[in-house]
Amino acid sequence: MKIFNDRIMLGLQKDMDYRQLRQDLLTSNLANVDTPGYRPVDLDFSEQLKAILQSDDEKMTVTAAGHAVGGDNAEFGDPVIVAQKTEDGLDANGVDLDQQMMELTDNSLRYRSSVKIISKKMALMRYVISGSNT
Amino acid sequence: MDLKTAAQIAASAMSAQRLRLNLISSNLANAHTTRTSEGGPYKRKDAIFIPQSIEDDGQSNAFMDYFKNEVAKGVKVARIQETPDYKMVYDPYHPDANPEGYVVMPNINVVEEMVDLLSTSRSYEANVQAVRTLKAMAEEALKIG
Amino acid sequence: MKINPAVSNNYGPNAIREKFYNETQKMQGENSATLSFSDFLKESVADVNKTQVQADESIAKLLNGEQGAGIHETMLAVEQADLKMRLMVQVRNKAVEAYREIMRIST
Repeated sequence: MKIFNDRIMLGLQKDMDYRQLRQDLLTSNLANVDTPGYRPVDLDFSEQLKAILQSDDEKMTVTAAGHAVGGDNAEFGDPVIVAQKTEDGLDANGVDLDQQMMELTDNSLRYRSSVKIISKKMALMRYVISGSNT
Repeated sequence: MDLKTAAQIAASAMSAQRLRLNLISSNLANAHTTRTSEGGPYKRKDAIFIPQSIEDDGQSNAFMDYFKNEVAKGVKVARIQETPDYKMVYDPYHPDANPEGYVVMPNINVVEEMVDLLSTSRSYEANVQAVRTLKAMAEEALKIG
Repeated sequence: MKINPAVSNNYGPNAIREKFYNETQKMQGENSATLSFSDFLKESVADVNKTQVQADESIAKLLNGEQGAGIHETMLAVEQADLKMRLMVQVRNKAVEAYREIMRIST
């Protein structure tokens, strides 16, 4: 029964997964704010999310024929780690502290909103199932 | 319309102020520098700010186009201006004194630089406050449900 | 009292009253002799479903990061769907209770 793995629920779950990964990357950018020669990185998962949200509810599509089966990302491909475009400071370190903080804030906020939406959906389902007091 | 555009504007302002702080520190540190690699005394450095549009990710209509490109802009340092502003100080025993006994010193007013420092720091704080307010607004939106 | 609509207000009390009145008029006008309760229920269920679908679409827009999507818009859409569904559950409960009540009378 397609309650928990329709494309929206799957999309929300995957969004949380990816955002958690991205948080790790952004935190490592922050940790390397003083490292000479460091290039900041970011995680781009917009393609994966778009594929999930457009997928048929009946079956999941494979993005490339040769993809190995196994692991959650297999059906939709892996997100891409991209280098951020930045300007270098004096020590060839491209980390802009304020920019990274802003991305961290945005990422964490979107993670929380996905959590909130999923919990609201689950709570609604629980309410409907229990029928509440009859 | 999401939090991110406004936060990017504030972040660009913070970066610009940070660069300005670096320049002010450099001015303060070099207030008595008479020899530089280009020859001549230290030139006072200043940052020129210009508004900069936040890069868009696909506008949906003409209003948002106008909004992002003309109205709601961040800030960018266009260039660093070096002003060759000097003053003559009478100091015949200084190694760089000219035949009349005057040394060409950079005309850096320490008090002015300290005031600029304060102003930079206040601008930075104001932008931090703007980001904090944005975060609070978004969190309130999450409380709708 | 007419509230001056400087901003379009679809949720004020006057607007809601107007909408209910218009819809009742429409339903009565279509088939004034046989306005059946079951038709009304079917329409309500369809409306709740539509709201759920709209909430899903709003979530998809938010996840894709499209221009028109803000967190508040999505939260409002999800909350609306939530409340409508809960209201429908309660209506169903009341309808079942009323049915039981009636069955109790006849035996």
